[in-house]
Amino acid sequence: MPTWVGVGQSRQPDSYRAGQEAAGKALEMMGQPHADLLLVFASIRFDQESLLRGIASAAPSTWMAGCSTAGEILSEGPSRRSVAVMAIRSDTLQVVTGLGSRTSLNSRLAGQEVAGQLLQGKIPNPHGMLLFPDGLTGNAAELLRGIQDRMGLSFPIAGGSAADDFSFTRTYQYFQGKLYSDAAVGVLLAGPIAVGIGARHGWRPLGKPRRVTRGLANIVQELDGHTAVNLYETYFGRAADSLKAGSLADMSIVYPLGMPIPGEEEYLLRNVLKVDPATGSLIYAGEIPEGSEVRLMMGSKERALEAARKAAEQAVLSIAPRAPTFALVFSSCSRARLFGRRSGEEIAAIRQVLGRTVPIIGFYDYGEQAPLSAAGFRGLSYLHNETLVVCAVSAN
Amino acid sequence: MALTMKLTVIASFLLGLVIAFSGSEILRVAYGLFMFLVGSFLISTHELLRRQMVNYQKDLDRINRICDELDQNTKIIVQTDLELTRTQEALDKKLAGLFVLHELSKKILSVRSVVDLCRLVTDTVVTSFGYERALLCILHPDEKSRPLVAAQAGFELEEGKLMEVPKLVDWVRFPVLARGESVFASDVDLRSPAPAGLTPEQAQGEAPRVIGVMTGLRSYAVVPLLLEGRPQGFLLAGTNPPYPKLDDGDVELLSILTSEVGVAIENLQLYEALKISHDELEERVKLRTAQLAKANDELVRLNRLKSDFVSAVSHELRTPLTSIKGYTSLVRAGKLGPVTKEQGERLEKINRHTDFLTNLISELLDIARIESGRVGMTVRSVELPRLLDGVVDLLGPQLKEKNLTVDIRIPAKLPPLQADENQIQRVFTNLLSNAIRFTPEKGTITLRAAPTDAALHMEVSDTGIGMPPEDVSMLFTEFFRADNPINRERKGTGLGLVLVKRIIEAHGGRIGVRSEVGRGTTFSFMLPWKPAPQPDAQAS
Repeated sequence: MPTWVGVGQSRQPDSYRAGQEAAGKALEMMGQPHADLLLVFASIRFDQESLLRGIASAAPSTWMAGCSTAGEILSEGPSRRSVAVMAIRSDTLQVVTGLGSRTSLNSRLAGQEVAGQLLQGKIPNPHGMLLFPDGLTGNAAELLRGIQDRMGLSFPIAGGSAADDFSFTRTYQYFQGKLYSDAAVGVLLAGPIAVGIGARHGWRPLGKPRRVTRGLANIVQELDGHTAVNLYETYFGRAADSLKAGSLADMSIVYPLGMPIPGEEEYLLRNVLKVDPATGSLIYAGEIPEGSEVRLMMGSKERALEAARKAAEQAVLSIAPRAPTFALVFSSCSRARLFGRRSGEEIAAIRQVLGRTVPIIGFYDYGEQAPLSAAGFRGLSYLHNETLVVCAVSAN
Repeated sequence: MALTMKLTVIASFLLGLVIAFSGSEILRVAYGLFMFLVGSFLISTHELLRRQMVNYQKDLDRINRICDELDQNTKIIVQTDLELTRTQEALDKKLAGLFVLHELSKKILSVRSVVDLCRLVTDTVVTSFGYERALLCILHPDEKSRPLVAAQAGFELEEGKLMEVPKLVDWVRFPVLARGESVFASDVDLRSPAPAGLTPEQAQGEAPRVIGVMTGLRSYAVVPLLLEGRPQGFLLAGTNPPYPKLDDGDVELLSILTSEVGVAIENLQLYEALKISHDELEERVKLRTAQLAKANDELVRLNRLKSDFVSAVSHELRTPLTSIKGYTSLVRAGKLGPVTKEQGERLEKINRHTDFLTNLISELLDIARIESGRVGMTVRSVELPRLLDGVVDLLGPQLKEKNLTVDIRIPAKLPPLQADENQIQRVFTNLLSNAIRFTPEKGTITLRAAPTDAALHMEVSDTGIGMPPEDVSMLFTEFFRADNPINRERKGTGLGLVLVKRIIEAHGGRIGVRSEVGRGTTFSFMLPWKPAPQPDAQAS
């Protein structure tokens, strides 16, 4: 009962041809004329419509899901301004995709919508799901809660929020060959398979703990009674003046806020997405409840690399003794910034743990979804930031 | 503590009530004492607590102070880290650019045409350098508005309108092509229309905006492409939001790229020109070789025709000559009547001239035969000393007549030579008679032989009148006769030395001559050693 997996990539300047080339390569590597599932991750430099048409023209598939990125991840390493396609056909792995729309209106409802579509098929043995929500609109934590309302609290969810090459303007979700924004795409993985998820970041807390004194969902207005943006201004010092409101968010992405979680080894991180120049509020990629104790966090390459290795180990360990057939990697866009030219090392470290022949696809995102590992949470999936999520799937 | 105190207070109050109503003096005193004790206990406890609280507050203050201090350190750490990150990003960008540049220059090496090169460059600018669109134009050297080669990447074909390159070139011409400067725009307003009715010359200030509108790029740079030191084209690259605007670093990188491309294009053009001229040359050499081969064939054919003709004619001449000579002898001998003295003299002349003609014809015939290869050499062992003695004997009367000395210097044990004895004899006869003829009385003629491993080298030298160099060079040409008093006096065929040369060459040897006017002439020739023919081979 085999599973065929193929990965293709293209850097063609022309969008339609790039889609065609990447999907064609994936199909060729898979060695099958038709795919059960196509996963597509692409830069926003492409004309998204033409790109999807190009993909559809070259690779017919039953299900299709994906999103725009801040960089693509493949076995050979990370890449930017390209399109990556993974084609899967399997006798064991069963998939269904679902779409939740208008996440900004009611994220929880959108979550329920996705889960509802996934459950409609009534496929036995669901093992986990992949999730690609819009990384800029809606409340991803609420979205997760919506999914958990239907799928159960302990249902494993791994995913990355769609990104747009650090422009923080608009992201796209791909669902069944069509283009969406402000939506969430889910893929249910079912059948006699095993799904292992590992998530780590390696960031360390720094400086005084602070309390969120005024905030709403993912907007932090005041910290310890001061305007929230004041935090970065104090820490960045004179550099903050030279960084205008726009680029302050751009830089502070490497210095997230961390919330300690009881029983969990690492802090839960929250990225700055935007700075509201009028009020000085900080808009984060995930919710930070009022009253939370937060700390400024800082990453180092060595620790982040170690975290990547641990995440991969965790994923492989949880499907042992089965070996991974393919793997998905969702890495925070801030990690791409932290590593710079060395981001290949992160992927190499993961590959070393997974095995060199395991095909990998993934992307640099604006937020990650993965279960918490502390026993107290019973595998509850959470929204993370600055984190590396490895999802290993064994389908042989 | 609070509970104990409350219980104590309640207990004392109840006890007080009991005592107040009991009326006992002792109990009242005891109660008073007890209350005093309780009071002092409470006071001291409170004092202890207060002091503890002060200490705690001090500790807390200290911790807060340390915390603040640490937070100050954190600021330093964050600022340093921020600075590092920014430096790293700037460095990464530069490094990545240089890396791509390096990769590109490796790829350029294998490109063989300018069109392919331009396409490779624009594709790389979009896919690897990370610009959204790129256009590389090389202009026609004579008509400056006509692009010779134009390659573009990143311009979506689906946008409906293909960019009008010649129109764009008009706007790029003044700043970039005429002045060789870069145009750089970081934020073009794409919504405002291009100025209508204005020519690029009239609206130079508008150029950056118009170029942006025409290419659909809000941030771009145009850098000139220099060929042979003059701007002959340009490279345009740019981005639109959300991708970062171009900065000085981008212009720098693009300039490096264009200068590299310029060198590559020059090389390619040189290569193409070189290849064309090389091909032309090769073609011409081929043609010439074919012509020469044809001419050579023709010459060979003509030469053979000549030899055939000479040999045929000679043959035909010999027969009547024999008759002439026979009848002349008959008449001279007086067998046909008496011959007067005058007649005898004339007949003698006829006889001499007939002999000369016979000699000439036989030599011509021999040369023609040897040349055409129709006469094979009859090779056998030749004892050189014996052969030379014979030749000297034969020429004895002439030697004596001029009182000449012949000096034969031949090594005692000379191995026998494999050659045609008659022909070799002819060689020596010819050379010696020449020597005799041109050497004044009492002169010396020397014959030398020196064997080496490969050949036998021989020399015939005289102390004769010698020849000027221009005669030496013509010596082995048919019918050539050096112009000197001796030759003017005596007739010769002018074929003797030609025959000698042909015979020696037919034996695989070579002949040469040195001469000095008034000092003498030396003919030197070599004959290679040949193995003696096997008796069997001879038999067959």
